Amino acid sequence: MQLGQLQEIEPKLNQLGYQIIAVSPDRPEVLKNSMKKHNFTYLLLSDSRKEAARAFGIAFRVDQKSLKMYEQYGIDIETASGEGDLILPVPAVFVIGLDGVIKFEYVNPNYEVRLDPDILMAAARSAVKN
Amino acid sequence: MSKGFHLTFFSSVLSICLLISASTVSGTDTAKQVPVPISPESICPLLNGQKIPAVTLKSSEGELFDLIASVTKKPTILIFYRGGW
Repeated sequence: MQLGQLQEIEPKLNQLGYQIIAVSPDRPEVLKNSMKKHNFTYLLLSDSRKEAARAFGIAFRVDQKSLKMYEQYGIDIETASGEGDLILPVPAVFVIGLDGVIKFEYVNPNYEVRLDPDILMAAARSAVKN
Repeated sequence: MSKGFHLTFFSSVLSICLLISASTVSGTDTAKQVPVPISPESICPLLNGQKIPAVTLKSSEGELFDLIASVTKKPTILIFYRGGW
């Protein structure tokens, strides 16, 4: 699931009572640009020191080979987060209840394999029912 | 390789994951002490049924954001993405 796809199902998730929070290592200033660029309506938050990614157990250190690949695409993860730790989160989606408990999660080390929005909708519906 | 070996291997990997995640959620500072895995395949994510840890994020305006405080007000879809690039 890409952020754009999330935008599409956002109204349905809101109807079920959900808020959507998207967290990345991007610095607050970089978030501002993303919001302008993509017109995201949900909340973007900064985890530039990767404390949240670490606490959720999804942080990993980017190896030199991947770093070179990022550079070739013009991606500078150090400038984006403002930190030189070379840590990124594995893309992940958590459905969390009011009790702070994780009801459903999707974590895939292969960033190319994304969560199907239909599956997220089903999990979200089920979690508010129980 | 025997089935028994696989079972033992996977259960020990799982126990390591559970150990790491237990120490991760027990305090805000311990998260920093747990070494960061060197590949996306070797992470130990929190699991279904576990409580989310107390973490503070920042808004695009640089204001502090208490995740648990927000989650207790509304059920939440929490997305982690690598960056706006």
